Amino acid sequence: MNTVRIPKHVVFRSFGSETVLLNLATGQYHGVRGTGGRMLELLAETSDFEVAARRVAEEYGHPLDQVERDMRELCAALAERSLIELD
Amino acid sequence: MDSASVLRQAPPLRLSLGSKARLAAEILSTYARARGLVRRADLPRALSTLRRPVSAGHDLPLPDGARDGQRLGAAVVRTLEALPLDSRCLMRSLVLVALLARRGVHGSLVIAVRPSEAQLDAHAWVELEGRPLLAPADHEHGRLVTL
Repeated sequence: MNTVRIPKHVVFRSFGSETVLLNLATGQYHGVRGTGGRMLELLAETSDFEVAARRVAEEYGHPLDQVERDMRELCAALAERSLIELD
Repeated sequence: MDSASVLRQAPPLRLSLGSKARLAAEILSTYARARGLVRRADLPRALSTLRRPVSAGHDLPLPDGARDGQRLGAAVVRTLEALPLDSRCLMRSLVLVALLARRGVHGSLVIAVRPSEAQLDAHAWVELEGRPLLAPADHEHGRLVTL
């Protein structure tokens, strides 16, 4: 997994500790809590999985391998719901 | 005070019974169209189709979308609520967007959300150049998207 893209039909916004995503194609709302919201923001900003993971590890002071593992899980869950596209 | 300023300050004219009936018929046919579209297409596509008028808008009740937008919004709410139809905020908004389009005006559909522990609360309304034409969300909601 190198590149992550947020499709045009997905919009999201952070509200403090919760990030809300709306899939305009299905009309369904989804929520991501905690650092997941920041991961999503950075993925949208950089599109690069590794760059985003390094930024999260720096910002939160967590080991990079743990952040990468968590971010992979998040990406898999989001991709399964068509909220992101992976290359 | 000249006659032009008197006219501008005058309260809106009441619609005749015939105009009210034509407006209600337009709202109901637009509702049927909007409902069918949201079942078949995603929201952006449904909106795009509703913004393409089915026929040229001539001799329409409340013909000036910019001036009459709020009255049109109120008419949509009254008409949909009076019947056993989906009168929720998104459907109201879609119908109003289509009515405005027939009158040559581009209304923006706004969707706002308020996350909470129990349940996410979402609300939709229509704005025209930043002015709400249907009841907007309260300050606890945050705008998610404007279409």
